Amino acid sequence: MQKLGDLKLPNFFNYPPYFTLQPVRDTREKQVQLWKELILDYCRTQKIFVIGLEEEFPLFSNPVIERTLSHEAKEAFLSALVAEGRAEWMDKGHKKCLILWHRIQDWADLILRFVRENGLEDSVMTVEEIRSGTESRGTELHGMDRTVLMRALKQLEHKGKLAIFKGTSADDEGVKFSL
Amino acid sequence: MRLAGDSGILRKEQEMWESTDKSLQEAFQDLNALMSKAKEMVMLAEKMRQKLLSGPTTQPGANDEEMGSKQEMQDWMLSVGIASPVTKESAGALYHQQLSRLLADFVKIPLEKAGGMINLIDIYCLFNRARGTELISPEDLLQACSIWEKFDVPVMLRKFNSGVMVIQNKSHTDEEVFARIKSLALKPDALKTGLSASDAAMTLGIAPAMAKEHLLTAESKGFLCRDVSADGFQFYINFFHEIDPSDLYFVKDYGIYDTWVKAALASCWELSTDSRLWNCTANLVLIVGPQKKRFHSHLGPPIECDVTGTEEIVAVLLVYSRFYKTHPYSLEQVTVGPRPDLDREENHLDREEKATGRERRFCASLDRTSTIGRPVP
Repeated sequence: MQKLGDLKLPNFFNYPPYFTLQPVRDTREKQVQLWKELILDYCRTQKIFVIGLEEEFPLFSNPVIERTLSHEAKEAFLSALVAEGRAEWMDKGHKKCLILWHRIQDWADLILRFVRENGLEDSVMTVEEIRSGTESRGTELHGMDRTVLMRALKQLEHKGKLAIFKGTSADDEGVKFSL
Repeated sequence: MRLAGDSGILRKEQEMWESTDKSLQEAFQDLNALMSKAKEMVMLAEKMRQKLLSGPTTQPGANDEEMGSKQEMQDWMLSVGIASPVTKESAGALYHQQLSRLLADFVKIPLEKAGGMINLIDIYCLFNRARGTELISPEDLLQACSIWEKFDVPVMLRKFNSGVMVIQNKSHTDEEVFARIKSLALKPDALKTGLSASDAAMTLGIAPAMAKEHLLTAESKGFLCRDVSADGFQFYINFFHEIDPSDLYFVKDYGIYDTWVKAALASCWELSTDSRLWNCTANLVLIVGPQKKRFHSHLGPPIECDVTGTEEIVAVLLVYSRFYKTHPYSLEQVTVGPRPDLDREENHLDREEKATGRERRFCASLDRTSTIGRPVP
């Protein structure tokens, strides 16, 4: 089976019409569904959080059949993900898209689980430590996108599970858990 | 009067001029008379027109006669060249009825030649060319064709979404055409590289523009889907509806998706357990980075993809080779013997070759002109 990174590519990835935005409504709906799933799967396996429409994204072209998605097609598929709540546009020009292969809620739950499993209920950590510290190694939190992490933390702050504060150094923010 | 000398000549000219003028005057007088008469005629015709337009009388008895004489008046007016005042709702003027019947007969032969469907513009040309004189206008043609639906003729006028209008045999139904297109799209070649309008035209025996309309209609019904690229505009059989978004890897047995996978991704040759093939594919592989492998072959541009095992390498090559139909990647083409193009006087075996006791095997000629080296990982 063909692979792209760690993702196994399904057979229809070699089907040329898959790379042309279909004009017929029913056909397009199906096509969009398949692209949404594939984009999420790919980003999940490769831990990609941002897709830039102006850059080359390996999933959007298939050199074996020599087909690449047009800009219009890319925007259509990503907009569909945004409409479903699995992605967000980072700018008005729709040039960068934040992919939420885990929803913010899911990330929040993962953080809570991480805190409980490591006995960090009343402790303090910096934001950087959460995403790149030794404790998080091996978990999904490791290597997380900072923007997404901040969003999840803010959501938890709203629920009173933690408090975010500015650290002593200008750089990093800290988090005090109070589960 | 004396007609000699210069003055004579001048006088002669003067006389000629005067007589020409006189006859012109007379002629114009006649023309003026005609025009004034014509003016009267037009006014008379207008009066008759108004009378016709005024509608049927209230007396039931006199109805038939009135209608009869009205019909006569219409015919006279038509023959004089004045357009029928009746609307499109009625059976149309006699002229268009007759034309309609004539067209239905005329159109039979070109329709057959064109495979059951012919562009309206083509009929316009053919018909007028056959007429020679008294050509019909496009509006006449359109009107005559529109009348067909009121009568039992075996032909019909049809308008596509794109605006293209065609004349079609009633027996030439859509279902029939879709069935033919579907079977075309399921042929091995079409499954591998798609169906273009010209391919369809040749096989169906119709004009490319007609074939395109059929393909587009089949697409709108969901039988086909399009592939637009630098290679052109092709259609493939549509199987998107057979794929389950919650299980992207599942291929239902015997469905269209399955057929496509077997035809398009299938091997061009039997998967060989010959160890030479594995060695050769190993030689083809240039490791660029830890995950990526790049393939060079005589088939076309190098491709890069992530594969882990030799089986996968072969599978990728199979997919790759189907697009180079003229250079099928076959076992025979894989040379394993000594390189024939190399002059061994000049190019001695290098250290590795001497050590292994055999030449390096390449399936593509080395391009020593490239200035770009292998990227350093």
